[in-house]
Amino acid sequence: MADISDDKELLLLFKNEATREAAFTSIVKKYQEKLYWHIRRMLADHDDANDVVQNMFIKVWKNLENFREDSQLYTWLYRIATNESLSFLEQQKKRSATSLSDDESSVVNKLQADKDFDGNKLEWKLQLAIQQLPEKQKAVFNLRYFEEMPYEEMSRVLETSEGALKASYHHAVKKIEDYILNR
Amino acid sequence: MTNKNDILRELAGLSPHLAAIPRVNVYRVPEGYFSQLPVELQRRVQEESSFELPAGNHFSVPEGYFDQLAGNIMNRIKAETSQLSEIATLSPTLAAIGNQHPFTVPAGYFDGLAKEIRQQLPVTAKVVQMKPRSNVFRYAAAAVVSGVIGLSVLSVFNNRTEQPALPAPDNTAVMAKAGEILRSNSFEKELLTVSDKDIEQYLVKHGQDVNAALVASATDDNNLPDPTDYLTNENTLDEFLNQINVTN
Repeated sequence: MADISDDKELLLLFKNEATREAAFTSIVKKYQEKLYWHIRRMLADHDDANDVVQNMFIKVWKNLENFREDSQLYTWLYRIATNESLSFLEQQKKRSATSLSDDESSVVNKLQADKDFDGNKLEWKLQLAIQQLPEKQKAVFNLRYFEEMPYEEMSRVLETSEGALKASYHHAVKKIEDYILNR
Repeated sequence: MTNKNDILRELAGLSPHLAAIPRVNVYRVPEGYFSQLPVELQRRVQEESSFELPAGNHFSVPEGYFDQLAGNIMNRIKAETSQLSEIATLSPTLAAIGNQHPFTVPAGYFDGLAKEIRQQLPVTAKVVQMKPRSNVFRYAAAAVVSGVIGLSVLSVFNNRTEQPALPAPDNTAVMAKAGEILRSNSFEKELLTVSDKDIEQYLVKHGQDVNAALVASATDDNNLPDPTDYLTNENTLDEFLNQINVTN
């Protein structure tokens, strides 16, 4: 199957049993990197990001047939990716709360365990600062700062009002600035 | 492009320091990761699909199941309607009225009922360590018993108050008097003949707790607080003692 970039066409092909798998593969290829990086920035660790990105695409496979085209496929995929990441973090938090050992599973610890981590470099310090944010605020900051997503689009992804997102981004920036300047 | 510039301007306005940090991706992925991901996903999708029930029927049923199914269902239907047929036989009028009750409840009643009941539940019982004072009833009971004996002694003494030098009381006479009081159930009557001062002196002399004895004498067995009350509420005993007002 030739590379088809139009989402509507991909969705039509997905609905056809004969072209379903090929259409799904095209959707994965089209969005995998954007979604992977969005998830990775939330979770820091590659293995965790890989688990979540795979699980989210499996969910896409199971639910794409029922996808209502009143929103863009791109928005829907980002919503699943964000929700899956937040769920993963929530589960991780619960696990570490019941564990007696040190919280080695925390995102910050995993970030610092990255083989390329260099705490003296500003870009890594920025990542450390991002990980201090509350989970949803982290998603807002990443989508705006790294993905350059308009508030209108983000509002559909996170199902939150634009006003609340602007306030959240503003708070996130101030917290990150404070972390970078004072630590 | 406009969007990117807008975002940069917005960020510079919020935090010039943050805007100055180059937006580089610090993370790396294993080599060939993205080229392998669709393949891996396809494999997993097939794996997941293989768990779905294949077309066709792979289950079995007991022999003759379908032959008896209709009859079994009819029997169930008959059993469920037997009450209706019974009442129809007994009273066609009642059967015609049906068994639906005519009562109604305020709109949304059942929605709020559970919550309302929860609000009325008592606060979870607090485990209260019993204070030493809670032993007052034990002492009081002991005091009542010794009071009965003591009263007999006093009663015997009272008959001899005018005699200056009292010999040691005759135990046999004391016990006989006590037995008589108990048998004739005349404890209350005998008690009225003994002054409070004499009782107090007797109790002090014999090492009894006067307050405990007063509690016992002022207590009506029928009005004692229920044990569960003072086990769950530490104020119950205080309230009870204030109520009987032993200090006055």
